[in-house]
Amino acid sequence: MNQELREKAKQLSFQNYAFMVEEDVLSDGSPIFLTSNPELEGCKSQGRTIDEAIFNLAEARIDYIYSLLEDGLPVPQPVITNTETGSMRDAVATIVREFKMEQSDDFEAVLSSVFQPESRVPLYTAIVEEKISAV
Amino acid sequence: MRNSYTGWKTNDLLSLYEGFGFIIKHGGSHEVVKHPDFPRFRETISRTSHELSPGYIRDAIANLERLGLIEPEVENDNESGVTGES
Repeated sequence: MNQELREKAKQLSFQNYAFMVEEDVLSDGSPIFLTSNPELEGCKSQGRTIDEAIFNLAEARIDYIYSLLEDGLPVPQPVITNTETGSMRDAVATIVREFKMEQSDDFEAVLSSVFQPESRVPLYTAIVEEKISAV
Repeated sequence: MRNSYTGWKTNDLLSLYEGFGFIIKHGGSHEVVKHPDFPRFRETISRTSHELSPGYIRDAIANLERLGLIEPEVENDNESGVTGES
């Protein structure tokens, strides 16, 4: 693995990509959360909890971007401008509320490890959740 | 495949993709699936020993249909390939 390319992929992965969380059910009836970045088509991950799924998606995003760089392909940029973003806390709170989930104790730690402190996320996430709740 | 979206492990899904000519690249924590005939297509798959989310399987079917590698499901009411209803 090219470490220089890997580091570049990691830096690019910190950009404010929108993300989605979908709840699914495994064969034993337990919940599983599928996360994805719509702007990076095919970039997805999963987790037993929402915060685990978001953390794993951050890892997947690095691998995804690395593969683009490795192939000499352009890396899609986040499409939503800064004026259309909101706080990470608000967006996640919306998700948690819609899924009626409880945040884990180390949720803030997970978020700060995945997003840079000044990071603001697209309100797209919250908008998607509002549509779900309206159905 | 279309009859059961649950119970799939990572290796099952990778085998499916490989059967259709996809290439598996090992990332840091995820597998990245690519296809030599569709250079812009790629998908990350969680490298886990646990069961995959059924969403992975639904997406795999959609991908294979979209790339023309399998026929769309007949009883799908014209939904395949449609994106963005805005």
